[in-house]
Amino acid sequence: MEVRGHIELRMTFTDGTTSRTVSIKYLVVNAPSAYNILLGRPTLNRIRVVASTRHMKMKLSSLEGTVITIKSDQTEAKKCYENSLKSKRGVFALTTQPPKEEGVIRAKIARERRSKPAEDVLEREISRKMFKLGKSLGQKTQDQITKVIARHLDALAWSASDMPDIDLDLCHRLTMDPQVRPVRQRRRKFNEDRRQVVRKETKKLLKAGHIREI
Amino acid sequence: MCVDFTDINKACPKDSYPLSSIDALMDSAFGCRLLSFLDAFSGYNQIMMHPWNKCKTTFMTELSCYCYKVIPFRLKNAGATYQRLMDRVLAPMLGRIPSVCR
Repeated sequence: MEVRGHIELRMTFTDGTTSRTVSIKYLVVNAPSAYNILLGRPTLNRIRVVASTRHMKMKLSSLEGTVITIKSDQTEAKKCYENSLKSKRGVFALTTQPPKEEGVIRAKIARERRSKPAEDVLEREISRKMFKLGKSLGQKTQDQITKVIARHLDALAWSASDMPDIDLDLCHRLTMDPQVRPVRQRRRKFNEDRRQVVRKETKKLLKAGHIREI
Repeated sequence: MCVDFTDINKACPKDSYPLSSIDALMDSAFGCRLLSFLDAFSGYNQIMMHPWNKCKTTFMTELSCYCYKVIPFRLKNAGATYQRLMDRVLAPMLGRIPSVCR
C-alpha cells in the first residue's frame, strides 16, 4: 500500500436540518477499497461521536447543542461490506517507499490551479529610471517595450509630484446619514519615537499636497 | 501613520457600486498570450475629496490640525469611488482590453 501523504479536508456532517463542519486530516493511501474515506478513532473522539453499529447510526452534537443523527443506508452498507470481502485481503502491506512529505498533495493541487509566474526579471534603465523586464520576453520584445515606455514616460509616476490632479467633478463625495451627530475624537498621545514618525509623515503628506492645515 | 476613521465610516452608508469580480477577470484573461499589469501609484490619493467634505477628514497632530484634500486610505467607500472613476476613464476600452482590479 502506497502512502501518498496527508490532506486536510473540511467535512460537513448533516442530517438535513442541522450540520457541523470540521477540518479533518486524512492519510492518503493508494489502495483499492470499498470506502472512499475511513474516519479514524482520533477524529471520532475529537468530535465526540456516538456510533452504534447495531442501529447503523451515528450521533454527534452540533455547535448549537442540538443532536445530529446520521443514518446509514442498509443496502449501501451491505454492498460496501461485500465489496470489502471481494477485494483480495492480505495484499495490503506498506511499501518501503517513504511517505511523501506532508503537504505535497495540497501543493500539487495548488500548482495545478495557478498559472506559472514569468521567469526572472532583469533591471533596465530607461531615461534614468529603473524598470524590471521579464527575461523570457526576448531581445526584440524588450526593445519594443523599452521604446513604448520611453515615449510615455510622463504617464508613469515615481513620486506624488509626478501625478497631475484629476478633475474635481470626479471627486469623492461623502454621503452621510443626516441624523448622525458629529464626533470629535480625543487627541492620541504618543511617545517620542512615534511623534517623530507622525511629524515626518505629515511633512511628507503636506509636501505631496495630500493634506492641508486648517 | 494612519488616521482613525471609525466614526466617520460608521456615519456613511455603504456605497454598493459593484467591484470587479476576480473570477470574471480570470475568465476574460483566458487565451491571451501576453498579460500586462499596471499598478496605480497610490490610487486613492489621486482622487480629490469634495470641497465640502474635506473638513470631515480632519485629524490632529501635536503641531496642528490637518484635513485631507485627497481620498485618504482607510476611508469607507474609497474603493467604490476608485472603481467608478476607473470604469469611467477606461469606459471606451473596458471589456475589450483593460480590466480594473482594486
